[in-house]
Amino acid sequence: MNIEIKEQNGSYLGILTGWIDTAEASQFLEDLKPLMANANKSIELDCNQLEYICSLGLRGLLQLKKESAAKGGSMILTHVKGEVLKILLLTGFDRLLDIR
Amino acid sequence: MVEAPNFEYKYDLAYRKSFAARLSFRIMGIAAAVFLVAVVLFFHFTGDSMTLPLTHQIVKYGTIVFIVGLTSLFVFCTWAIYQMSRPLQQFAESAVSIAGGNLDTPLPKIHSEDELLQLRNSFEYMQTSLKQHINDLQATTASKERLQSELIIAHDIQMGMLTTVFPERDDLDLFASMTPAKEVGGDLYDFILEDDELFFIIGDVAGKGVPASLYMAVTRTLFRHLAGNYQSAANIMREMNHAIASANESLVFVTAFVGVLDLRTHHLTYCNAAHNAPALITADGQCQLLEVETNLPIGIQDHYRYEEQQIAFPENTALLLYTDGLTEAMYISADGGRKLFGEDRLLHDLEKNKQASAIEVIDYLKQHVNVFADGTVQGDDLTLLFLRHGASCKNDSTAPRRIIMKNEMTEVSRMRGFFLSVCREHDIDDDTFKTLNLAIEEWVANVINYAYPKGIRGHVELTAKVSEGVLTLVIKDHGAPFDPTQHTDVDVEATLDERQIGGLGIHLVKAIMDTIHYERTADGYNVLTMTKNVE
Repeated sequence: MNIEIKEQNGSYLGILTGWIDTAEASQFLEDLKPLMANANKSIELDCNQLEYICSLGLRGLLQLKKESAAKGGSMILTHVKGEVLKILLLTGFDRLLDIR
Repeated sequence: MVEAPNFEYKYDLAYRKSFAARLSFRIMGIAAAVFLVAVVLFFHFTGDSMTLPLTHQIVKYGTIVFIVGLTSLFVFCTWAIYQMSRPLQQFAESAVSIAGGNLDTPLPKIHSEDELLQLRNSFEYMQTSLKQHINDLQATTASKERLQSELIIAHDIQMGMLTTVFPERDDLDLFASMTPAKEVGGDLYDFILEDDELFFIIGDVAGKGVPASLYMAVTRTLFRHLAGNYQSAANIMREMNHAIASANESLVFVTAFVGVLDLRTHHLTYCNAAHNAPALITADGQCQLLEVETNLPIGIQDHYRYEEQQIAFPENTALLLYTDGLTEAMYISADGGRKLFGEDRLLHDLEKNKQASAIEVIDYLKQHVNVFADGTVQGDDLTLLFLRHGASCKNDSTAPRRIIMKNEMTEVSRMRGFFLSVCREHDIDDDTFKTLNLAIEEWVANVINYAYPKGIRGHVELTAKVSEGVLTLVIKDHGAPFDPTQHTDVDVEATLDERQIGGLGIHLVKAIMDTIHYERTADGYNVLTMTKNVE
């Protein structure tokens, strides 16, 4: 699991890579903190390289989305595919998160 | 739960006063009767000879004196009885307070040396002995709890010593299990694979509980240390015996069987120190007990010469090592009749499971012992180690595979590796593997996080089996009961504001798998069985 965060003209891009499993989920939540701090901005999470996400990882995404909605920012997921998309559909997260 | 009796203590003033008044009236009644008798006697003896006015006066003043006297008597009696019964009221109040748990309640002061003082002394004695008993009870409970928690830790340490990662080799199928009868047991098993040599041991320390478990730990550590360095089974046994017998004041002994299987030359050398003869399944399918020389158990006589034996162990030969917890498993019927599991049942079971894998054989035997005992509490630890040597070991793709994990989150990645190899073996594609792995991971993570109390070592066991296009996953743990089928599902239709964080894991397990069945076994295991069509 890896998350790379880039800032461009006041908006944020997070590139998620690999497996977010239960063992790594707490690290993932930690890594999301810089984005949480900027939840009032526009945030894009690129999931092209994301292969796997467990429920704890989904919780992290939900928390960020709630924070963003509360602070009037925006958060979108891009390039969601395969297994990750399937899990988002199974959990009804496709309705909660903005998937492009 | 027993309900506290519901009654009130009636020691109030009105009750006591009426008691005093009743007594006063009784005394006055007696006094009035005495007066009447006196008047009658007076008239009887004085007769008509007395002058009328004098008689009148006597009657008049006598009546006044009588009424005044009676009233004074009433007041005096009431006051006296009130005074006498006051300490009783205070005793009653003290008793209620003591019963409420306040053992230091002050008792009324008694200055007279009568029955009240006796009562007070008895009360005082009751207070001190109650205090003493409660203190003793608290101390006993605390030390019991401490011992119990130390036993649980000892159990964790002991189970942690047993190797639960089994070799992954095409020419070897090995599995073992140990079930202690108490928190800690005196059985042991271990194995070490060095290059192409498999060293293995099963042992049983005489006795049970903590003393036996200490020797179990020593024996297992000695074996681990000696196995690689001393090569032959007899040498390992001799050195273990030397180490234990040379400092064995409590004369605890260990029966053991040590084997060295050379997987290249298909040759088994073994040494038996008064242990049960293992059962052998020969390459041509005969089930019999292995022929063993009986040497002395470990720990009895230093420098004892242990004899070793050897046999050819061609491919498809299998060996079951066990402790007497198997053959001496007991069934006690309602009329007190006793029956032992015995070697015949064991050989019969092996006959039925000749082709089965190590996991299947061990599960079958443990299950059979449970059914056989039918609720009779087992007094002895049960340890089983099954190994089969041969190229055909991993050919049977319907054989279940198992991984035993500790309750540590890092085990999740080891499990992923295990499950990936199961999926590869059955041509399950990578996407399906990921989805299924998520379902397993969510449940296993739940067990790791919540099943065992903080800081307590526990295990979670995953068994995977594919048969006729259906993947069956069984996840077993010894933690607190948790039934996912009784768990309210998350509302996947909820909006962002309503959506709760949490409960997703269980939802995913249910959404991904085709069927889920939960069982809490009589021996305290959570067993979750899930299936998925993978064709």
